[in-house]
Amino acid sequence: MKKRRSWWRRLPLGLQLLAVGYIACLAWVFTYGTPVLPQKKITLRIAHWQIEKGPPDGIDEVIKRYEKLHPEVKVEQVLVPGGIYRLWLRTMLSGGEAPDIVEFGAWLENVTDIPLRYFEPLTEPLLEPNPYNQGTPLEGVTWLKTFEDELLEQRSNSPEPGQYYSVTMSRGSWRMFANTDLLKEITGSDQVPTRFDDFLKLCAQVKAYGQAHGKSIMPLAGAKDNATFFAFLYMQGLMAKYTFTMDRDGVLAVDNRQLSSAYLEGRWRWQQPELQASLTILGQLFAQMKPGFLQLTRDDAVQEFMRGDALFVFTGTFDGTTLRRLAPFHVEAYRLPQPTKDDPVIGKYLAGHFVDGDNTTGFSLYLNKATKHPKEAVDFLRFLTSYESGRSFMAKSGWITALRKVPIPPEIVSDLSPADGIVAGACYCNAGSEATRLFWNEVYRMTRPHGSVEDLTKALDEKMPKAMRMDLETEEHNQRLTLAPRDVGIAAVGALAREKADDAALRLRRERLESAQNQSEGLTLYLGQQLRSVPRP
Amino acid sequence: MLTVPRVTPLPYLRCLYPLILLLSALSGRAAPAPDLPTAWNDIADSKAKLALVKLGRADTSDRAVQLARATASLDDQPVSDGDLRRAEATFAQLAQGHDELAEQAAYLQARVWQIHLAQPDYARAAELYRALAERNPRSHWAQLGLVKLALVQLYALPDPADPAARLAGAAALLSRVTEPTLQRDLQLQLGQAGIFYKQPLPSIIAHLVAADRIGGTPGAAGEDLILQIGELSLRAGDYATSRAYFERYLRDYEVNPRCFTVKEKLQQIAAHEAAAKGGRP
Repeated sequence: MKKRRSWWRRLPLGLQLLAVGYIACLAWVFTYGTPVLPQKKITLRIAHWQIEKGPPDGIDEVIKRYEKLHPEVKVEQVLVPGGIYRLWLRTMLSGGEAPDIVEFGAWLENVTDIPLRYFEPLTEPLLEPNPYNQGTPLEGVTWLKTFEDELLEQRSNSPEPGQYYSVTMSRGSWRMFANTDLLKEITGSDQVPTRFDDFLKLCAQVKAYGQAHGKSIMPLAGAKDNATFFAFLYMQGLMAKYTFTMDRDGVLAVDNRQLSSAYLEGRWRWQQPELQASLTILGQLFAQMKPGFLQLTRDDAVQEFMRGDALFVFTGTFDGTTLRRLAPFHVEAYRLPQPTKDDPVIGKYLAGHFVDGDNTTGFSLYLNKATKHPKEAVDFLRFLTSYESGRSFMAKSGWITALRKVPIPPEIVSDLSPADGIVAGACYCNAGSEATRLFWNEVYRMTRPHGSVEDLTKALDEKMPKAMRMDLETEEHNQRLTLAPRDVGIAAVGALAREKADDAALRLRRERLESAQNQSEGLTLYLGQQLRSVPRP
Repeated sequence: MLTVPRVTPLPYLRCLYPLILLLSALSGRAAPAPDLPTAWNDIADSKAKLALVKLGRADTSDRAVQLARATASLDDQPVSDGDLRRAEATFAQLAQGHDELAEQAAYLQARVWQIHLAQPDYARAAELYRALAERNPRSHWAQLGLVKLALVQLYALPDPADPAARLAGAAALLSRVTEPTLQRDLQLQLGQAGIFYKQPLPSIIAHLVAADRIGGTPGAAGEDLILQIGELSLRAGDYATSRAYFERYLRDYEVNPRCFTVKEKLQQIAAHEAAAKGGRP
């Protein structure tokens, strides 16, 4: 009798192998539950220039927590010194090698074209709640509203009206950091005068003390960066009253573009009394720094202070952690002494007390348009700027978080200024790239031995019209650059809206894009007409 | 004796050969239709190169694909004037149709002349915006084109030289812009142009207030608008309007450091009002 073969043996070998393979796969899936090949890790890179003591540790702490939560993502922190940051960033961006998230500042010179070319707006995610804030006092709040200033600066300086291009990490103020051990040694007290004239007397006392003790002690640690901070703050404040007279738009402030336009229209000159008086005050401050300070950098000033060769260093609270943690003496932060209306030099031109810090947030992080992992990068930014991360960042870095409702440790509360001063905008010494370069090239006319404010202002008025015009032309060019790519975006969103007529989110996106472009376009054409209407110098 | 079964899989597969050959032939002759929504999404996300890959290069009579390709080419860096002129020709051809796609193409044709070419031709752009608005005034693209036409008239065209006539010409377009958000944008631009051309304050404020009534101005402009109306009204001596807008600013924008100055302005208004009533401030 012929033995009948089983159904299995009657199957062709190929099908037998397939069935065995299938069963093996099922067994793997239901027993091990992990992929046969290891999952590929996503690496995100975040670059910034905040390499002072504090911030890198704060960010590392947040990264550790994020990587635990998302084992498939690895985050690398790239620390780049401020001195080379601009060049480095441009090279990396043009080579397509830039990190996924990068720090940037709208005020950086000669790089105003970068945001539009290389960064992606974050407006849409900012209008949704940050999911990492669940279970915290910021739960349900739109991401934008979780920032103390609701990203005011990022909105004002946006390369495209209506769009947000970055989120921020911290906030602070301008402070006079003092070596209080030395202060007590010189004055017998740890008090710093609040009046400007009294402060100048203290400076004289410091110099006299140094001479009497054969030590080289300057009242202020000197560097061009620190001088720029003084110029930025004092010129805005001292000139506020006059600045308001140039506010033709009625927005209670004048930005650098309006300042340059006003100069070209002849509405202000360096040689006018208000500017001369303000520069005189600035010159009095510069005279408290060591000769040659214009050749030095912020790091030099910090070292001078750390060595005990200067009583004060005037800087932003971004240097606070470095100073407090590394100085071999006690460091205290003081508010700035300001001239008052009875000051013989500037009094009659003053509007009043001006800000020395506000709730404006900074340390702005932008999303690289060319990132291969946009979703993951936005997710990390959300995590980085969540309530819990804000708290751990602050504890590790000593920098105040940009976020609302996060309790601030008592040792750094003094880094915040109350809202008790005038803001008028208009950085006269930093109006635009060319104007700024020119000002700092010429400032030696005031600081050199036998130099004077008159020498400086005469030279500035001779050369400034060309510089201001170049700045405005650059501004117009950059504004124009914003229009073409957005045209394409509007057309694309319009085409999508044609297919999905009921999509409300798409309709809103379209409205915003169009409106933002209408504003940009108005400004660009406005600038063009303004440049045509003013004779070329 | 153990019998090893004969393994002959090929006879089973032979029946699939004709099907495999047919599929290969089809895939060689015609590419699958491009996924247009995905391509448009890429274009919206500034990924023109990726979109162009998805849209393919093969000749097509599909107007939607032609429009998407021409649009993406405007942002496919580096863009030469030659590329732009080719895109403009495509838009001009597509604009001959009678559907929304044709209106969008007509709008984009005008934009090439105004924005994209290295040397803009504002007169040509204005002519195209006008033609689009004549052909289908209710179309969204025509409405948007009217706002652009107003901007070109306000600042870029050589005539009329008189600022008041420029403003009047642009303001005449207001009645033709029926979409509220675009009307708001135009009102806002008329107000800003009024400031630029140093027009009387009441006419400027009227445009700004009209923009504010429509509402929803995005970005910093929305915030500035409230301040502008408050401050310009103060300068015009309209204290009631000024107070209302400054108080609204304090309510809506409490985080802005300019609130300090706004509070001082409110004190000034109180002093003016007290003086007007004959009382002491």
